[in-house]
Amino acid sequence: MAINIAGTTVIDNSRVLQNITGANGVYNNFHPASTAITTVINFSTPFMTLTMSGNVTFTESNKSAGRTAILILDTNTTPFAPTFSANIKWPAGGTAPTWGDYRYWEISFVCWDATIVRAVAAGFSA
Amino acid sequence: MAIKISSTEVIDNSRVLQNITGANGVCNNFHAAAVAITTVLNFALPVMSLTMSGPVTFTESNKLLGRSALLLLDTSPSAFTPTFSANIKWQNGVTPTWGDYLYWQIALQCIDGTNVRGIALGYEFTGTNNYPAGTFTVRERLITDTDYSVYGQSQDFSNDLYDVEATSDFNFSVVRTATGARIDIQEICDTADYWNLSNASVSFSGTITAWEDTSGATVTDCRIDIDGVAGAWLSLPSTGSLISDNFSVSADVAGASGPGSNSDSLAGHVKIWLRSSQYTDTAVAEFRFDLLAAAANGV
Repeated sequence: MAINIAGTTVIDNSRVLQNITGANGVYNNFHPASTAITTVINFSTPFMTLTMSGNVTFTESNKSAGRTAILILDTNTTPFAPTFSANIKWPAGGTAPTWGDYRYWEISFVCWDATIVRAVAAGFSA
Repeated sequence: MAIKISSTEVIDNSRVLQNITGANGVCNNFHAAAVAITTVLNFALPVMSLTMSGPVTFTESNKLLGRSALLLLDTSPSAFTPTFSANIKWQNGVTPTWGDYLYWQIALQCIDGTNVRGIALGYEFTGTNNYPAGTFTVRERLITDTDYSVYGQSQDFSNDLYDVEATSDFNFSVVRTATGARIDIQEICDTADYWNLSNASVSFSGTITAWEDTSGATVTDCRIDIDGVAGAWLSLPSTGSLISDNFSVSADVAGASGPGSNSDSLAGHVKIWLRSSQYTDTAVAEFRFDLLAAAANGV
């Protein structure tokens, strides 16, 4: 049976916390679920993966200040080229990484507001 | 009504988890709230933001081994200076140059109840990050130097008293390479001319590399200033292609009073700038060159 507070479910029948407005305490083995995506960097799914089968132009959704997300990107053996929107800002000189330099990329995103996302990407060969 | 376990509240009436001693499972759409701060890095607030309106000296609170926080720091529009306590240990032991970027994303990790390790990433460069120095094979000289970095002398003669000419000709070229850029100096002479180098810091014929950088910078444009006059920025084409400026003098005595009666010289100053996405525009090399063309009666 779901647990409600003032008629709002806070733990549903699948034991998923719902409608939580804050959390104080510590956590241990508590991790984001991995979600496979296609073209949308969804800040409601904090850990995303994509193995590219063609060039991809990404868009973003559910941006809000403070939200973070990680994209694990496999550009495949070709390699295919990812393209990010102008909302994504890259560090230092502001230039996007040279995606062709590595096959695998771990890309961290932080929303600064509902539009601007600042990112950093690390490339891996294996 | 709040949810309690053994009289301890675990979810309050505002649906805030309270007094949680552990969590096992997975999360989906579950994020830290971004909290605006003023001067205190509070490790009970995992994501903090501050748009500075003046210099700020930060302190820390609620530090505990394992706690981490992210500070989104906007120093704009005046590039105000943040100051962190000595408890913050920066990557590689070097405090970032805050003035280099308007926006900073600072990851802070408590390693005990006192010390914090920080990694700062800057965005929107406003600093003076110069292009790295390359290696000169022709000596760099300032225009005020009295000797030459590049010197060319051309002399030509002909038995035909009335058909004598000489040309001295340099071509400075900027080449974008796979690893950075290089500057070539080319000797250009008409086949009938006679090319000679003396007093030069290096002797060469054909094309030599006078300066080279292999830092891996992605060079996009170059600018060649002549005698203090700024040139236009020119896009460098793909690897191996050339953008160049040519300098020449010539002497011709045909129909004049005979060999050796005519000469021309040119002293000049070339300053070459490079532009890349990683650095501010930087003057990477300067050359003084002297050209002499003398229509002589033999050499």
